Amino acid sequence: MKKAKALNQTYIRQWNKKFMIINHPILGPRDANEFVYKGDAELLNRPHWTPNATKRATYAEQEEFHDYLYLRNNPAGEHKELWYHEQGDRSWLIITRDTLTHQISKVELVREFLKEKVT
Amino acid sequence: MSGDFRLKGGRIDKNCEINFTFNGQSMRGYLGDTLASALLANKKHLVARSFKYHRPRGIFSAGSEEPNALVTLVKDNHSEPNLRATTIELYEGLEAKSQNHKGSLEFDLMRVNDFLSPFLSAGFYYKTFMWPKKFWEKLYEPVIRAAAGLGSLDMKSDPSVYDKGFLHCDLLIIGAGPAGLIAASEAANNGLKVLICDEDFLLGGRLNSDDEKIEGLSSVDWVRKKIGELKKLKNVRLMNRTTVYGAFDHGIFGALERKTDHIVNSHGKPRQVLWKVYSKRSLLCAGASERGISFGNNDRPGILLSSALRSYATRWAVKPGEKIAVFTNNNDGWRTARVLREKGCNVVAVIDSREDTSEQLYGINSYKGKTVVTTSGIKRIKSVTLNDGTKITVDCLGISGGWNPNIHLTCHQRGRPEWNHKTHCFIPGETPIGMKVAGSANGLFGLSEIIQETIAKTQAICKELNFTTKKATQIKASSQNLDIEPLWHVAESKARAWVDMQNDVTTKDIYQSHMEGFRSVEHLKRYTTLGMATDQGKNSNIIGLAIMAQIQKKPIEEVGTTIFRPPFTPISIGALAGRGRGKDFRPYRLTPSHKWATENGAIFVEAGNWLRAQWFPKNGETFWRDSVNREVKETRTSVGICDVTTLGKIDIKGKDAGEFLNRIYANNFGKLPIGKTRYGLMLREDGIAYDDGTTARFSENHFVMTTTTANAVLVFRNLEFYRQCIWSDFDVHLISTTDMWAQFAVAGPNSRKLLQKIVDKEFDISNEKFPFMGCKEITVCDGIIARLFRISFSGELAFELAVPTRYGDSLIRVLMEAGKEFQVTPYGTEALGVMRIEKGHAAGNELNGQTSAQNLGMGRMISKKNDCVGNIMSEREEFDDKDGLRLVGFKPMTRSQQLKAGAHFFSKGKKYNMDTDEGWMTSVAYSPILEHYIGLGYIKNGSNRLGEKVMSVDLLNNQIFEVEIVSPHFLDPEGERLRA
Amino acid sequence: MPKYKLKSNAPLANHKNVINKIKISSIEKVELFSLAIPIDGEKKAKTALAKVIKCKIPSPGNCVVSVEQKLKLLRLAPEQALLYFSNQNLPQIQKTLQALKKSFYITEQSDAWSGIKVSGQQVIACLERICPIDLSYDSFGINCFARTSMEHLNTIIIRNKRTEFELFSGSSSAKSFLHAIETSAQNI
Repeated sequence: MKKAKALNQTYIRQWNKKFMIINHPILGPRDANEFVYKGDAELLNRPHWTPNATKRATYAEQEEFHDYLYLRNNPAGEHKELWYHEQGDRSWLIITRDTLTHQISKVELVREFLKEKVT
Repeated sequence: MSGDFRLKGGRIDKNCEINFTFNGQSMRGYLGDTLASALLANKKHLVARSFKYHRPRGIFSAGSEEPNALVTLVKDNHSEPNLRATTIELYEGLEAKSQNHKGSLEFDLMRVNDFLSPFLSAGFYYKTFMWPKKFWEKLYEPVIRAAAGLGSLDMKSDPSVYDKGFLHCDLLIIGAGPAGLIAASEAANNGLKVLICDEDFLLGGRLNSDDEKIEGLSSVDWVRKKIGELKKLKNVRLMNRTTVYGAFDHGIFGALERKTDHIVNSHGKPRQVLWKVYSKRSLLCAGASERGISFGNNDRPGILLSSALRSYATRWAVKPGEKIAVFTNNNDGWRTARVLREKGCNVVAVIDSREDTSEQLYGINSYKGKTVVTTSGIKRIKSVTLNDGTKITVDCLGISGGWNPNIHLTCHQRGRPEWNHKTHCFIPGETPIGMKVAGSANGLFGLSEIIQETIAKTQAICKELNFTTKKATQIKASSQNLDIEPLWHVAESKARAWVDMQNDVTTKDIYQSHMEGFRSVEHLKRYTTLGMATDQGKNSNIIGLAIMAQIQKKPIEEVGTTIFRPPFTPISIGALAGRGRGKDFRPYRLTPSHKWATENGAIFVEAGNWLRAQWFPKNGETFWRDSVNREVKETRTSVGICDVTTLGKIDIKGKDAGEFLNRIYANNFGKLPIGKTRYGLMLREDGIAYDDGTTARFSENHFVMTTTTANAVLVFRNLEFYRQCIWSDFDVHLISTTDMWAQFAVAGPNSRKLLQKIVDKEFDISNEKFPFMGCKEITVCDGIIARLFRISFSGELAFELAVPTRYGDSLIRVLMEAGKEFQVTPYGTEALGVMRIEKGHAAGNELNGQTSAQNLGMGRMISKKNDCVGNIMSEREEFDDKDGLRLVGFKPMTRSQQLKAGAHFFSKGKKYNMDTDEGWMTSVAYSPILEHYIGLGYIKNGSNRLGEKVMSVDLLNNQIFEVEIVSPHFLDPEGERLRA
Repeated sequence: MPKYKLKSNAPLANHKNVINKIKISSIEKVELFSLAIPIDGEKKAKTALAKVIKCKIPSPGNCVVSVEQKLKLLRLAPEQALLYFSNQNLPQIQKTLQALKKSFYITEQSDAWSGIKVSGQQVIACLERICPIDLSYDSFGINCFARTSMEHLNTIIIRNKRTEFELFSGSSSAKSFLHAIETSAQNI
């Protein structure tokens, strides 16, 4: 019985997994099931670091990386996050989603975003 | 047959008789009947027993909101409980049973509960199921809880076929009543792609039950005409028997279509299809449901909603009783009386709680300003008693307490409904984005108004979607005014007055809940169970809330409603599973040698989606380990072949491919010479090891990476992340080639000799020309392109040979043929596992997401030359702990002892607890070479403790014995064999 | 004559079936190549394509077809396209690839995918059971393609005619995918 219940839960979870649509900047609206969620778009800001063959990373260097890895904002409202179009064009996207309403206000290709940042 | 109880007309086919049984009793109905209408036509009013008190119950409604008439259907030797008789379409041979009674439906032995009711009030379980502890298993669960309930599950697997699908539209219209049909034709005429769904099998909604006039036609004729028109339009999809059960984000809806539930034999077609609907806009035209009034003994069979009486008489031509009365607080009750009389029924009285209504029907006694306080009759209502003491003999009573708009879907995105003080009902508040509401669902009850509003809203939707709109259609129709004066509960009633019949919740329970402090609606719901189960309180919730508001002396809107959640009506688990059951639960992947392996009797194992050969039993081998031992020994003494296609393969190209790999792997790859392969360890950013494999360099700008089978997708995703998001200025390109190449490991001292037989002569694969860790693009069997790698997972002289997948099946056959002279053996994943443990290679059990390069003994591999994923974080002090866990090997002191993976290690003489825990065994195998069990595991400071004896403790299996810490390289620690 | 010969076997070798008047058959003799566009190489790629296969480079998500050359070019992603040859001779293909080699990183993908052709009046009724993409003719016309997920499998769907589609999925899961399509046809 317990097993059956667990399986039923799996069916319900699978079906309800992602009832969302992501408006891909190139391909148009696609079912969110084609995408994989990664997390906060702050992950784009990976600290630069040059290792030293003779000594450990300094505490400050480690601290910077530690913050990059573990510290996240958890806003109630607009949130920029990374999604990957795995079952599609394999693009990484920055999606601006309101965590309260689930409304998606902006979808950008990471590549384009970074190009603009450089220029 | 049941002629006496049939009236003239109706939307049933009287030329098509249908036989069915109820509790074994044969009955007849007509095509177009529901089980409920057919039962009523057979004078069957008592059809169920109530949830808690086992009270006799009859059919109450004519739709999906039915609280009472739940039955079990038996079809294809499988029974399905808790189906509403009011929505079951009659088919030949239908077999229905009543539920929740001991003994017959008429003489339920559990009716004693009704007399015990003072003890079974709200919160009964919470107060009773307290102590003593042993009563839980002996009394509470098996006896008391079993006494309450709905139907019981068939414990057999559901034999029906289910499916799923996807639908797209500009406009989804939910409900095909007057509003829905008008919206559909208006939107379609303006060019929108329209999908219109209705849960009923007959489209038209209440137009099939109420005689109205539209465009000069009777409502039934108008519906026929409209549907005929819509069916001709290419941009309209009409779906009956389809319940839109949930409104999700971004215009996505869930809908359940009942495909073959109404057919005797589905011929293997799906019973139901669960659709995912993508809509740009939606229009909710779900209509409204009538509600009752709470008064003493208001739950007797023969008491129905007034609108249901009208439906049974008009749509199904059923005479619901011989002496009918109507109890109402609005004009709609009068309408019922009028319609019933027109149809030839005997209406004896209309009781209207309003003093000053002008409604009057000639020849029918009216009792204005009066209420019903109680009723009599056990299995069917016999009389009603009014608040002035008048007693009226009846066998059927219609109740009209007003209408509740079906606003459920407007609330699925957390929208909160608003109270309308004129019609005394909740109307939609904020709706999900893209949704509009029209018709009775929006609180309008006059047909003329409904039509006008619907057309206006449809035009607005067309404009929002940038369709040019034609001039709005003008449609004339009749109209009515409800003129309702709210009445929720007849306060003079002394007898128990039901609020929620499905859960046996009475007005008293609501008072009690309030007294005991459960005052929020959500608490009220949980404490009393009001509004739970299959009907989700469709006609009872509001009465409960209104009574709660009265007690708290607050307006209803301040009390609020509980949150509506999907599904609108129940959905069977089978429909949610769809076709994804049993072996179709998920897709499977086959290796190129699958067919050959099947022919050779392989036993398969699921590895992710892959089916891999686990071992190949030969004649006489009855125990799996016999086969595995043989495969290992033959490979180590001569040559073995294993299909390793499942390993993830990624072609990496570009000018910056080398530098990219430098940063992806913890160890250096940029300086890997062309024609060489290297083992690589991948870390996560936090320094934890997560995948390993080999990467070969075929040219300056071309590398081929392999990943573990399990992580192939994850690694690719990760590489794309770093390529696009972190080092986006690199010229590097990734392409998954896992399915492109069939790859076989050829291992053992004779592997080179075997390969030399098929590798084309111009390619020298001798040890000198093609040493350990070499890689090369070659041709085999006269010009077939191939990739050859000299890598070894087994620790033997070994190669991996890849050819395009189309040649994979042929290649295994050729290798087996060519290898005959060496007694070549195929080996499966078990032998592969044994050999890697003998050699001390880490795999999934060791890379479990908790272990670092240092734990694996690979700390020194981590690059200090450049920034790579995970190297900075693995410089954290904790990672460099000298006393940290190290991967080592273990041997049992008693050589015959079987080792257990998962056992924990303790120093001898120590207690076995968390504080003294020193590590754990990750992988074990029986080594046919060493002829005893061997294990790999992590233990503190392991590499400096070789030779020490510790305790292996498995408290779950109560196995405690001594093991010796040894090098993880059980065989050939110097690696002479693989360099041979 | 060498002693050992390798025979070619497609995963769905000449499969043909008709279910509820829907024709389902495996696609044979297709050669597929992934063309990756080097960073900042879009211009060069454009010129090369115009010269070699006389095609414009399609924008991402779109496809160009050359009937005389029996090829399609599907721009799967901003930096990647799939060059699809049907029924062409190998020397001709090799010649084309040689000419494109300087402008793209080319990786053969012929055996990575397995194709199934589905056709018939009711083809949409069949495919809508597994395909989340809107296949109505207005929004997905001839030569439109999409890469998506069907029954958990990564799939490329191409429309050939009003009532004919080609579907490609990984060759290792070809049988599983065929089963999904045939079940859909069965379940109409």
